[in-house]
Amino acid sequence: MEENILEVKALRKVFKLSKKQQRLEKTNAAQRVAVDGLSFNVKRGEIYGLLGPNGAGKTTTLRMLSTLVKPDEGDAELFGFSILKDAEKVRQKIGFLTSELKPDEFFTPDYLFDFYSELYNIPTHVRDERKKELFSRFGIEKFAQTKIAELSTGMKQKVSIAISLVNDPDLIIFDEPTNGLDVLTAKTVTDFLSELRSRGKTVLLSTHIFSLVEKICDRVGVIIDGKMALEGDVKELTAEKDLEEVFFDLYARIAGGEQ
Amino acid sequence: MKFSTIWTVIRKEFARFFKDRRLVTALFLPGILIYVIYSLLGGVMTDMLEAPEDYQYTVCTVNAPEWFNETAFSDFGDFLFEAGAEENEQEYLDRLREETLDAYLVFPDGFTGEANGGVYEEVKLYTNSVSTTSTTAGQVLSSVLSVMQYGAPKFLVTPSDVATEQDFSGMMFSMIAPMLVLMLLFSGCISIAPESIAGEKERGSFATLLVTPVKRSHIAIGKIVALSAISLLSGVCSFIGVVLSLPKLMGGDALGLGSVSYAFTDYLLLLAVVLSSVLVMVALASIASALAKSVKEATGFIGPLTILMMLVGLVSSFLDGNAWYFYLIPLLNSATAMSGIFSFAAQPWFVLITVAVNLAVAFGLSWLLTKMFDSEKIMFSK
Ligand SMILES: Nc1ncnc2c1ncn2[C@@H]1O[C@H](COP(=O)(O)OP(=O)(O)OP(=O)(O)O)[C@@H](O)[C@H]1O
Ligand SMILES: [Mg+2]
Repeated sequence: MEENILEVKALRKVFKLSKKQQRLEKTNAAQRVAVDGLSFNVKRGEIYGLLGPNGAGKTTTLRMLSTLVKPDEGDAELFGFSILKDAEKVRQKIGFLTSELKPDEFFTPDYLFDFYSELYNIPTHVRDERKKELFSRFGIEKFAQTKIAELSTGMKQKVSIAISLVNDPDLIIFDEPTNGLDVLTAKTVTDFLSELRSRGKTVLLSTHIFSLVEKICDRVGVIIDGKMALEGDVKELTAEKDLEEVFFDLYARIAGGEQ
Repeated sequence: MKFSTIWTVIRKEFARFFKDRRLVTALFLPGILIYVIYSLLGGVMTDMLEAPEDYQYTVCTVNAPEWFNETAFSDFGDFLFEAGAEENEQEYLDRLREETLDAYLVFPDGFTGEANGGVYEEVKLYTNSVSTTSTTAGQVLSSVLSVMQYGAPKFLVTPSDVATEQDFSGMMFSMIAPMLVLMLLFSGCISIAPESIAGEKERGSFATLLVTPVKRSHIAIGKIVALSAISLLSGVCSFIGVVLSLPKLMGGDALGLGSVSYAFTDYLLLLAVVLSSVLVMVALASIASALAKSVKEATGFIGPLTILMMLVGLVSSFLDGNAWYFYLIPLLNSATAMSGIFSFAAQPWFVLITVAVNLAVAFGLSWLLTKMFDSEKIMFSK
């Protein structure tokens, strides 16, 4: 249980700000440090939550871990594979989900499941088995032959989840899992995350919703301005006050210290 | 294994396009448009060129034998024959150029009309291809002469064209055609590349590919191969449109212009030019699409490229098609080479340079595209 599936070592990411971005955010800074020396570990079989306000650097961190973007400094090892040196192997082993990644509207869930399975080199019989199981788990069977464009937002999200699991990943990285979902769909998703954990899978998620962390996460890392402000066991942190209070105390301290 | 993932990406692109009626139409429309436009143009030009019904053809003959003078030409039109003398040849040729004479026919001195021991006498037929009536007169004369020697060849008929300019219809065609072909080919390419690259980026489905273990470069190769194949199909369709409409454009049917026809090699050269140009265009459109964040932005980037195609087509018609260095500039070379082919002045060497240059440029641009797919600044810009 104590084995680290993911070790994040001093990740740093700096973005150059475009003129348009400078105007939008009313800043003259030429660059923005989105993630600033972030380190943490995720253990096998746990749900780890990255909690932080808008612009804290959560999405950027998860993108670096899933090798969509490269860190400027630091490294991370997933299953012993470096995100810098073995990006393709890392991608083979993880499932990455975010509301920004959307399945191609012009195809059916069935087609896309087969398509992505092929990209992961999954044998047909394994694929068919998995497809049956995931589609029935999320109630997609009825819509298997319907174009994604014609599905509801909730069903689209379910299809996205099913597709991101084509490779039966041991680590699922999930950016804002319940963003934009109604309470029912959100519940399906959070229930499923707990179910994954009970099946021995590991989940790393990001959110700005305290209750989500309290409800399903084992451990939490609070990110503010790209830095790890606080890390700990959710049960221990919330023993005396709830997570929201913990966060605001912390935030006041950090913001106060800066002034 | 590498190729299997590329192939998977390619197959999905195909599935995407051939199931979308709008896109399939966009691909085949250029060919159909070329056919329709050129046929209509041909019709208009034929009307312009047709000789008036009561026209009298004037033909000057030298040393014409008895049987020729006795031949009834009234079936073919109103023909007026003048007997001339060989010394005045220059005068007849001038009249031909001035279009006051329609044909000048020279039989050799002491013409027998019999082949003596395999030696054929030579009959010279001069016409002016700039003049419609002259072309028609030439047509009539050469068919009458060939009927005369029905069964076995008795003498040779050597046609000559006194026109100093290029054939009129060929000239006109060679001026407008390359521009239209370039633009329509490009319109085929730009109906798919923005959709496939910028569209996927915009809708967020592109990133779903990037999180799979497939190499970025393989995704790029898969896309560009699929887009090229689809655009080539569109190119072939445009090519067929050109081929089918050529005879109509040249007014061949109405004027009986058997002389105005393209050789098989002309068609082959044309096809090579068309297809190699398509590869350059699709790579250009793909790069513009990869730079854009949305289909709308991609269309914005591609607008100037469309104007560029038009300019290239226009400029090419003013260029000296015999200067080899023009053929080193991609797409300008295609337009120039097409002008050459359409006006019967194609130089196979120049066409080969054109195709080679275009292929090299297409490869270079595709390589650039794979680099772009690797760049997070381009794929994840804010
Ligand atoms: N591609 C990019 N180019 C420039 N700046 C970026 C880019 N991506 C993120 N940023 C900036 O980096 C900072 C961190 O962004 P990030 O998306 O990681 O935050 P987040 O914690 O996910 O926030 P949110 O809750 O809004 O999703 C922000 O200030 C953002 O504007
Ligand atoms: Mg985010």
